[in-house]
Amino acid sequence: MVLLALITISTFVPFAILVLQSVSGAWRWPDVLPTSFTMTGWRALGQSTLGGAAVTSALLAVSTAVAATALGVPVGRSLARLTGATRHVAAGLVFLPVAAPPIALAAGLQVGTLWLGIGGSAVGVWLAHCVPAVGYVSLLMLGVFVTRDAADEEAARTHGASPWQMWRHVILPSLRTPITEALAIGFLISWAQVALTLVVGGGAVRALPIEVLSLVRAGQDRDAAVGALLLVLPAVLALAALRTGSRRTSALPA
Amino acid sequence: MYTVTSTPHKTRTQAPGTPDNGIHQANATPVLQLDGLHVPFAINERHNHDHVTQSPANGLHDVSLSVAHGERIVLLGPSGEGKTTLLRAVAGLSPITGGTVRVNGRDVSALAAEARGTVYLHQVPVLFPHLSVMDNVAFPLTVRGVAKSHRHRIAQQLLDRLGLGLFGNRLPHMLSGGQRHRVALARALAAQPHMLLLDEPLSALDPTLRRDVREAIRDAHDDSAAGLMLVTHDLDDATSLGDRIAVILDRTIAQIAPAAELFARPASRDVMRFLGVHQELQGSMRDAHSVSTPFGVLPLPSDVSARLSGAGDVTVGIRTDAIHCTASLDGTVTDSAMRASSLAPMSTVAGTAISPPEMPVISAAGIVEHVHIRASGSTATVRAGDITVEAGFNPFNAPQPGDTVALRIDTRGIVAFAQ
Amino acid sequence: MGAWRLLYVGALTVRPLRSLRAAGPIWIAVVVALPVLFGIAYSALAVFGVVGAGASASPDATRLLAVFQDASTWRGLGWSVYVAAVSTALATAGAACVAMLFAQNNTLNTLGRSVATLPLPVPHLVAAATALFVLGQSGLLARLLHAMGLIDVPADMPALVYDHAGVGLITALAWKELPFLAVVAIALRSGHATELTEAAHTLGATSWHVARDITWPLLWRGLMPAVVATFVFAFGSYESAVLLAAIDPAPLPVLTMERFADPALARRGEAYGLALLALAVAALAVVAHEYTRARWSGLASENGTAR
Repeated sequence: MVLLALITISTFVPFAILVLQSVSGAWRWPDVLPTSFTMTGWRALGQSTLGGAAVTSALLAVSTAVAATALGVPVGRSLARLTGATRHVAAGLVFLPVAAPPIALAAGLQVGTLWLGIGGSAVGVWLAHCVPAVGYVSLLMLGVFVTRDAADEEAARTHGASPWQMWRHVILPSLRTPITEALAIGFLISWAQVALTLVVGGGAVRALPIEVLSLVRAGQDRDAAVGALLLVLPAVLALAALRTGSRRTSALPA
Repeated sequence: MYTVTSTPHKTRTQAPGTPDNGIHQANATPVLQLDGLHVPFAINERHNHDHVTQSPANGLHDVSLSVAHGERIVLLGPSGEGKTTLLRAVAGLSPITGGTVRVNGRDVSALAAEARGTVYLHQVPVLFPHLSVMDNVAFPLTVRGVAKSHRHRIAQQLLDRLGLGLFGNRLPHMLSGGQRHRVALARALAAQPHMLLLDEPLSALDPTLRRDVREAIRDAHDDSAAGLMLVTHDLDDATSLGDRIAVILDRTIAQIAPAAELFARPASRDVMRFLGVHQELQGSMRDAHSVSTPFGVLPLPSDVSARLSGAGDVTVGIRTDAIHCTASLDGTVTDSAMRASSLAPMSTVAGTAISPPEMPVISAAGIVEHVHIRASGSTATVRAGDITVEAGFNPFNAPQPGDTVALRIDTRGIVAFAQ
Repeated sequence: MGAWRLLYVGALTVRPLRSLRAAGPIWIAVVVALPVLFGIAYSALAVFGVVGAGASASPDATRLLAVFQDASTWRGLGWSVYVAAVSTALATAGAACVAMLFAQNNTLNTLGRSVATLPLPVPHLVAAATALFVLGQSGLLARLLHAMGLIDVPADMPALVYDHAGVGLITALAWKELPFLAVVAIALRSGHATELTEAAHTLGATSWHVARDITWPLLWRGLMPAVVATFVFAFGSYESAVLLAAIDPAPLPVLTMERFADPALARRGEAYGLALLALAVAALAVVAHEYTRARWSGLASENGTAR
């Protein structure tokens, strides 16, 4: 079917191009394919700035994911208790940090981190990343808790469970899929972030997207492609892992 | 003050079977004809109860019936028997593996649902949530390319007819249950179908809503040349709505008949048991026209005995509404127990003489054990000899438990089936 | 300890505290939005010169006026809106096609859905970089055209990046956003009660009618929140714009970044004005998002009631 062919080309050709670019020795006009291949770009990862940037980004992204989920789940649950107009206002407020263009967000966040004395540091960048991440996870969790049936929680409480026990034995286990999705979302928001890292990090925090951006602007296509693939691969793998899990309690549409 | 009002009984201006000279062709072709239909149960169909794998062995077989113009036929049967599947197969929403479906003489077995001239209504009315009531009703006209003003006019007429004239601008989620049923019916009528197919329209409705929807169905269908086939598992709904009832048992049609005939002469023991209006006794043929039962010798109506060939064990059924108990006339009944042997020939109570089997009524004596009060058809459990029967009574002269009563059985209510 | 107890009990009983507590969760939402609210407040103060770089003793509206009177502000805003709108429209159309045409549950359709949604987690940056590789003046497309004999030198290649029409940028954004919208559209489509299409068919609608009058109207209503979100994400993407857009008109995020880094302190103040503009657009989007969500979600599902 025509649409399937179009979709397949559209999905895979960009990846193919990046792969080719990342291993191309020479790929000049007008060659449709590289004329020589080399693994230099990949082999140099260990020592290059790209490798270091990948590690920085990974650390940032994981910490953002954990923080956003740890905060977003209880926030989402609290907000789900609201009804009517108040809930809409709450959902809007929580979506605001996500909708706000990062560059606009960065304006206020840069000042904030400077005041807190963490301007230009990884911690500051991490906090900045958490802002949209917490918002997105909260919105996601709001949706999950609104459609959830709280009967099992009530049953636990009438049997004498303390709030902590209820969380541990009733709520969290049933949220396995939404929590996995929340972690993935939090990770991705930080992992792909450009504007926030640039402004709040002040150029000192070299996250992977920042490096890739520089490489592309500098015309270093091969290294840029290596970096781009580094940016893409974990994300795609994470998505594939998510997909193989159950969809029944999914917060994200499958 | 309680005022007696007469409910305007909506009479149908056309007897079923007479074609209308308006929309539909004036001929005697049945509006729906099913011949030898085989309908498998589908694996992903929404059955409340059925999760069988698709296979010709699982499903309905040899379904044949015909519906005349303007007729209402009810598919009646236990849950899970495939009535819904049959209805959907007629509508073109479920596949068939054999037989034909003819609508107005035209073979539609291979046609898609939209081309059959039938409209299927789901048990829970399915209204299009993004369209107003008016647009919902006008939908069949929209897809047929009717001009906007024209289709709004027709839709308004239909809404008026179903008592929803002022509801045109509302959205489906603002409607009550009964209103939703009416909109669905109005919308179905807009499609000018040859057959209306209603899937359990009254199931799971409370009594008030049930009356409302029953009225709505009559409003929709009266004066129409379209046939109407509806599915139900409720006997009262079937008798109140259907001109004829098709009983579906054992994955095929066991009997098609008007309600009166169904109750008087169920075609088989299974049908009799399903209808549940007969009480069962085991017996054996005493001679060609009477049967020995623990209750005594009972005469059989001639058409019943004609169908039984020769002697043997039979299952006897006595319609509950053919058994009445009354307080014995002089209050003295010496022998309250019925002895099987003493019933041959019939014994008497309170001096009433009994004659040969041609007399439609026989009598016996019994003692009331329980009295069951119901909204309709209160009965008393009466023990007569070794058996107990349910008997009706005059609600203004109800017996009490322990009373001795006279049982009268109208023998026209007796049926029997060979075992 | 006792004081906390007292406060707790007070919160439970004293009426004003009680209503505050009942509305408690809303304050949590405020906390989540606080950085943005703070950013708005700070930007407002900064653009009036009360705080920030370029702050002067006497606050005035010069920076704000400079922003509003600068043609590049409005051209940038308009261009960003245009690019975001077109790319979102394209992505929405594509996602709707995927959801409607790949609706059934056989292998081919499942494959189609999976393939279409695979690029979901690809960052904007990667999409933009790849677009550059493909659509650039001497990019892959140009080389293919050359191989087919249609052009001779890179200069012959029509400008798809750094162009006024924003073709490259729109393509990259649409490519990146389609999987997200497709995921939502697919979920919506699969949630449409089958009885709806059955009812439509039995009333005489062909498959085309069902798609046009039932499936698509329900789909776009359910999609609206995601479409709004997509628009605002595309609107605010800095990395895509900086890689693929022309210098002039500079898209709003790029313009904002330029002002931010401007050595002239006065111009830096203008960056806050631009940030406010962007945040205003975001606020509008948030309202639109919540409104469409409230109005149309759950419309076609099993219980079929709009929340």
